[in-house]
Amino acid sequence: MKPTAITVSRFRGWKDEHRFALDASITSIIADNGRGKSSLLNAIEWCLYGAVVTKKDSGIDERQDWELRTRTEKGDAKPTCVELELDIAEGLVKIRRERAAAAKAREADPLTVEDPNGDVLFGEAAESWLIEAGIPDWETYRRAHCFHQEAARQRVVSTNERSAILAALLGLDDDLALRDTIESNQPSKLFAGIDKTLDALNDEAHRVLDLPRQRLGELERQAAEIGLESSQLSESNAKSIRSQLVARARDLADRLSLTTDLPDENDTVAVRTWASKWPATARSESPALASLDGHRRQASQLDLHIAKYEEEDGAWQETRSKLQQERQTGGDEAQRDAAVTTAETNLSGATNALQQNNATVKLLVDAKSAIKAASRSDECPVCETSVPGLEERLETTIERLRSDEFQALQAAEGDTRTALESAESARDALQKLVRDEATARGRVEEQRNKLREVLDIDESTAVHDVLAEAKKRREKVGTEITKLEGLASDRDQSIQDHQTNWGRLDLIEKWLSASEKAESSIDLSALHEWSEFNESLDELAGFGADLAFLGGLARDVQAERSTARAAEVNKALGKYYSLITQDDTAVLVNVHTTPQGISYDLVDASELPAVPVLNQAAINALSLAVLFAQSEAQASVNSWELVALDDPVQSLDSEKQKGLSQAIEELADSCSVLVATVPGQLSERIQDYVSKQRHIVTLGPWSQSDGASIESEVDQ
Amino acid sequence: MDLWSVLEERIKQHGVRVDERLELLEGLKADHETGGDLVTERKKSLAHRVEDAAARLKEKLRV
Repeated sequence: MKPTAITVSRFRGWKDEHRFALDASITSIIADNGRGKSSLLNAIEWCLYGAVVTKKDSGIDERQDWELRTRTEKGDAKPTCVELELDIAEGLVKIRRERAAAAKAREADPLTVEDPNGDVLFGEAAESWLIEAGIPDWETYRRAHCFHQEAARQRVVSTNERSAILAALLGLDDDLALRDTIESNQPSKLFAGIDKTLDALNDEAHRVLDLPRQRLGELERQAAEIGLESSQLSESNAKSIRSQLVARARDLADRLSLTTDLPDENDTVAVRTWASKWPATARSESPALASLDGHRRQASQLDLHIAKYEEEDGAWQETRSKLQQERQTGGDEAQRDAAVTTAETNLSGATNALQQNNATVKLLVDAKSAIKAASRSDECPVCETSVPGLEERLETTIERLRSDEFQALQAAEGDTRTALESAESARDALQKLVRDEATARGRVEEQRNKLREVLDIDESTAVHDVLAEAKKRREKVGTEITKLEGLASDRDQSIQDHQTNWGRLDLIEKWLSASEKAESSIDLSALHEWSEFNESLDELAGFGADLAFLGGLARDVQAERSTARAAEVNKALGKYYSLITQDDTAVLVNVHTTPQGISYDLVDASELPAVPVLNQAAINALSLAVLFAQSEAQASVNSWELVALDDPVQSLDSEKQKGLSQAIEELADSCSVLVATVPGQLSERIQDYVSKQRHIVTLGPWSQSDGASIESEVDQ
Repeated sequence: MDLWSVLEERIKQHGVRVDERLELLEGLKADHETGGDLVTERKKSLAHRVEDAAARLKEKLRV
């Protein structure tokens, strides 16, 4: 299927109708930028695929603001039209697409196909003819003929990007994306979540089915611990315990004077409710025991005051005894006062005698001095009477009075002073005992008054009566306390018995309930919820299995398609890449399949990494090599036989442009090549060095009035 | 032939749960082309249904 000519009218840069022959091996459109080269190649696309090649839908960014129709004068009613002539096995086919001058934006551009018999197909029939004839779809065509321009603008850095661009060049990038879509929906996480749900459900089912039996065993162990034998785990025993509980509670309530409602012993629920609360009720609400604390406080108070009274009384008795003994042994107060008086008199006498002795000595000393002064030692100085030895006698007397007499008088005075002190001490001691006895007696009186207050009796009661009364009262209170404590003890014992029996009853009732549950079997299959669960699980499992199946299928298909496409391209890729790059390295596309996915890279014949740096020139060369290799392979199966190259020299240096011309010449052996390029090395080499049949079209300057134009056409 | 068509053919050739798998493939294709999440939502919906049914069954067992 070989395009042989194209006619354009009012299509982008081309205003007036122009026909271009494409039947040469190589058709070279040479023109500077802006003269209509690309428009001519775009015309082929629009003719075959219609509006999808324009604007955003084209999948090519730079077509965002594309204008399909040439801007012509107002009133120009001629349609935009492109007609492509194809040479197929049966003869010549004309494919024509038109767009009315007044067509609205969303209006379809009608397609017609005139077959070799002259029959014309319209609309869907025409579109079907294209598909059946093997015209590649737009996506395939775009990838093959337009992608090398897009790829040349990309920068490739990472391994993943290399793989992605190779996938795109091979037309397998959608396979990658689809695989990602399917993989991202794989059910593994979902199933992991559901597994948890199933585990939880299984645990619950296990619990429901096994727990009652486990519970029964546990309750039997607990029963054994509190002395309940298996034979006692019965309803009749429970009934008996309920009866006991209520009967003992009634008895205790009577003894405690409690007014309370007791349950009917046959009402199991009421007994359970009441039994748990009864101990608290019995402890806190007994009028009979309410006075126990008061009695205890009163007894404590009496004990304290009786002890204090007896202590003070004992102290007083002791003090009084000492006083009596002191009086008996040392005399009473009057006798002791008299002894003091006598001692004082004795002391006064002794003192006077001593003073008199001292006065006598002084007189004698004076007399002696006078005798001595008169020098008459034997004459009295007063009466002048002669006394022989008077001075000597005076001296002897003075000496005696000063020594022996004085000492005797002084000792006598000391004795009388000591006697006085002793008498005073004895008197003071007795007075102290009298005061102590009075103080002790006062304290006893004070305690007696306090006892009176405690006993609430008047002051007329005798002392011994107060103490006796206190002791009598204490005994009475003690008796009451003993009685109440006995009642409290009985209550505590009753409560303890109640709790023991209540524990037994509780255990028996739980055992009976657990026994009933354990005996009742659960038929899961009869449950509506079970059916619903199984249905939902089946549906999810089916869905998950389908997803997993699709995932596996996508992996397999992607691998197969990648391998097949690589094999197809690799037949001639090395040849074209070597020609374009003028490099001997025969590159191959390598498909690397792992459980995580598929990646693509370039290797040499030894399967070692090749083309380590994918710059723009390398990408352009590679994309052209892939295009040529694919086109050669497809042409060999009688598929589309035209390769359209729009300005393919981008980023290629002089050497590679030369190589490209050689590659185009090589490709022309398999299919026609339409090359649109600016004047330069490539156009010159095609014109001057290529040996294949060529149709060289040079475009003239574009003008506002005429649009694009042909300057010259040469067949070589 | 694009990959979708190949997968479709393979599903038909496999012959098991063909309708369900073709429907699922259609959903994946729609999501792939529109960036939607029909399949994810369907997956979540089915999972929730299982969770809900499991919860109800669990509750029933507890009673």
